[in-house]
Amino acid sequence: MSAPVLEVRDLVRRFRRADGRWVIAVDAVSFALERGETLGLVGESGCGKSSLARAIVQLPPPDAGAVLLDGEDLTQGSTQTLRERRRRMQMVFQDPVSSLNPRRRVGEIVGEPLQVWGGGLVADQRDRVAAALTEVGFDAETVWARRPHEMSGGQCQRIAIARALMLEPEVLVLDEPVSALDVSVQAQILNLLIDIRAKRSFSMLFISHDLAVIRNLCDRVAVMYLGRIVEIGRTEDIYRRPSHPYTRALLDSVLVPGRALPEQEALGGELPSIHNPPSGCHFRTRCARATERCASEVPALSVISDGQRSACFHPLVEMSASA
Amino acid sequence: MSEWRRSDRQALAGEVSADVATEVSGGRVPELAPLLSVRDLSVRFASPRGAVCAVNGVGFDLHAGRTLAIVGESGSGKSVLSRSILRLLPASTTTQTGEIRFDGQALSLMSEDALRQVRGREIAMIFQDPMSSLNPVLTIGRQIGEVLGKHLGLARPAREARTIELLEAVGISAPQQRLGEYPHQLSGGMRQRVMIAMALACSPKILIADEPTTALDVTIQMQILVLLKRRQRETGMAMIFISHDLAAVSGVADEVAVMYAGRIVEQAPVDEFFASRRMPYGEALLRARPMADAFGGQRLEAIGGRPPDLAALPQGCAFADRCRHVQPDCQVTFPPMVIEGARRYACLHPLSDAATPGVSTEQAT
Amino acid sequence: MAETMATVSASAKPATPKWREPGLLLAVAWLLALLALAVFAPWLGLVSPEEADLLATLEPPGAAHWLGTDSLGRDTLSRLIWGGKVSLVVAIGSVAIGLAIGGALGLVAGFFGSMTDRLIMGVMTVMLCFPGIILAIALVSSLGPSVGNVTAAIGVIFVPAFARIARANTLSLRDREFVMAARLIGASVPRILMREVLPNLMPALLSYAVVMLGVAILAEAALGFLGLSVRPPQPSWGGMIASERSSLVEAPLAVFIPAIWMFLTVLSINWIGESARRPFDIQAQTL
Repeated sequence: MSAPVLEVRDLVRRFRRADGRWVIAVDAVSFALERGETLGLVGESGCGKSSLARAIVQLPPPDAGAVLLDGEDLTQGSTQTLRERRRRMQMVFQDPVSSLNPRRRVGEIVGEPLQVWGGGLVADQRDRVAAALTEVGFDAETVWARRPHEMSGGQCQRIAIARALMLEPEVLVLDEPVSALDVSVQAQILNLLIDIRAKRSFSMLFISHDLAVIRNLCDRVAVMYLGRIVEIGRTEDIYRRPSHPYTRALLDSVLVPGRALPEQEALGGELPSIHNPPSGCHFRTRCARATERCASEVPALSVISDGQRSACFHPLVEMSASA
Repeated sequence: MSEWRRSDRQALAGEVSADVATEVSGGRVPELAPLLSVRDLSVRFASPRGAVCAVNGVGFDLHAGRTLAIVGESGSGKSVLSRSILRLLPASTTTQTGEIRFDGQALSLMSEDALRQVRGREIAMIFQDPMSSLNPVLTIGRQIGEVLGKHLGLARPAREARTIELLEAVGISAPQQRLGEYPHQLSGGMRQRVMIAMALACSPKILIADEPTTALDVTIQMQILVLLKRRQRETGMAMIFISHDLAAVSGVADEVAVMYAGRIVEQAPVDEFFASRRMPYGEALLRARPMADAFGGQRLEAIGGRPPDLAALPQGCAFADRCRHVQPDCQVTFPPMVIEGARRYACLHPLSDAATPGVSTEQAT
Repeated sequence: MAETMATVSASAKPATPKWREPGLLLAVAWLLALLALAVFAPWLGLVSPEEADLLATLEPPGAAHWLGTDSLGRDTLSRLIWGGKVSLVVAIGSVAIGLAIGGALGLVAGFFGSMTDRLIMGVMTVMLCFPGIILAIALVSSLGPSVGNVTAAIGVIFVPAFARIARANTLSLRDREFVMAARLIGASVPRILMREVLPNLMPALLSYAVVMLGVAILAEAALGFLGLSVRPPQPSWGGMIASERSSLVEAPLAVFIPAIWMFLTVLSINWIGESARRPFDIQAQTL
């Protein structure tokens, strides 16, 4: 088993409030991304998944914890060291139009990474940009001189993906890359990711709130709630046998075409305020299985079965005897 | 298109038997006249490139207690359609033609003053983004109170009591406290509940919900949809539910209408629609989402190309250049509306039952 | 059955292409004419603006003097054209100073934040505390009246406003995803500022600059009115209004003609500025 390409250790992201108290958006999160795998990060608004993604790519750097890319800690070292190291981890953002400079043209935008790092003749760079544009499904000549506002959301997202691939990163972080797009365009982009993933070898961290997309695309899934990972494991295991009550409720809330609405919602109540989270397990205020222990202790991610871990004192699937 | 209008005109004129009239309206609720009846509704905007036809000859019926879902992507005209029912579009740049009858009255001919009595009171509307629909500088209590005062003429003390009742009915905890809170202090789900409370304040006969849960988390979405359905059962309110999400639609709708490029291209009772589709766009929309039991990187059936330019609609079928099953005559002939039992669709070469297997009804997990 | 089809609202007018609007064409024509006149003034064969013909004072517009004469018999049209040179130089120069210096300061303050931001904006705020015209008067009085000094003084007045606009826009641009993407690629800070942020600042700064052109003309006129612009007999629009003020009753045209000339100029500038702003707004809306 080779070392994971990305390892996150006890990552903390917090903000200081006006009155001096801290709001913790990411609460000591740890996980590993294996080489060549696609890890999904799923959760609802306020769970901290976007803050986690930004902290991993050091935009801005986390307040505590380590991010090891190929064994090198991105949180340590000078600005110059970071500049060089972070080329190997690129990001695709949620808003495709906003992630492209509106005053520049497509050819320049996709070619920018090569411009920054020099390297090669102008003609070579041009060829590489044209190749990247073709790979994401464009006719390079047609789109080269276009501006972002002349293109649709789906097209802009493809350009963003082309740009992200220019430096041949080892890790691609995608923060809700299809949420802002129409259903038919989502499918185009997801197919593109599947194709690219097959051709190149990189690892993906795919963040989304859309459980169906995550299920189709990811090898493993991590579920987040209010700044913490509550469950992590192989996709099939998580979806077929969720052990954390929140994961169960989340999956039960997904509507499926052809099925009628249930009488009662799967998860009632509101998300607790991040300014004043419940003590112990954050989910206990909405959990039918909560006990006193849940209020006084914070459950750690413990092994449920091979590869599946859950942060719950009363998981739905009992720990297997052989673990 | 002409087929539909003819039979409809006949039904309206009482020349045809009730059977045909009910076929036209979806074949469900028999004797009652529809609560809302839309015929040949078209909306055109002026633009530098010429007239944009956002809604093109749309017609449907809505009965009390029933839910009609209008499904489409951006550019389909569904949002314009929802606003045109209450004539909320700016008069200076919009041309709206067609007939809208509500409870026997012709909304399309009403004066603005008369229409204002209908808006909010008889027909209410909720929108996608509650943050932009709620006034950020007024408290929740003030905003709901305004509706109660204006439409029901309640005095201040009665308003507060009724507001608390409404907030409780939509499932907002600690309603007394919420009265003095501002929209930005509430979560997205709560703001949407406040919108619903405002909409339901006068017990409207119809609720037009334009993508009410699109911006919400999936657990909150389920809460809101359960709330709306419960309310419908309790009060017999009809609902027009606009969405791009076929899964949500499947949960709430009695009838599904798919819109593309300003037209309704297929309409059917919900069970029939999810059993099989006739018009390829509806089929493609369903197939674009990952299947219920898909794991491990299965490619999806994406719809190639882009929606048509509404300022330059083609002569034939608007979906022709993106359709998997396109035939030569699709580009030139405008597909008329065809009626098949309780279903109607606009397609020259519709899919058969065998070609579109129904959606799996087994558990998703 | 015919009543069932009802046209609800008035038919919508198709929109006129922007560049055909008569107002815009007139505005552009006026400014181009002014510019041409100002540039080619020496070769136009005009009566000298400083030549006083005491036999023909305060004449209304006529054959000999197309726009009349002032209280010293000097040709109004000629003085307006020569005075236009002064106004245009001051306007363009001062706006350029404000844009360059203020824009740069605001960009730096907005992007780096913390102490840099506080320091720069602190200085800007102090400057804004002085009423603009008072500061201009103080500067010109101490430096001496000349076209250069007036330009510099007004330019300095404009710096804080441009800085604020640049800073506000930079703050919102700094957190946009395309700037983040540039940082992820490894672009250096100067590169990000020049190639990512600055091009997106320019529309806002330029549209403000166009408005300020009009303000600068008025400011120069005010200084001229107070005798703090170019020294007579060199003409300036404000100076012309000032020197004819006493003749307002007997020959109102001597005051009104320069005033209307100035009004048309500022109006044209604003009109063009508005029209130029709209395509950028549309572009900004899609972002």
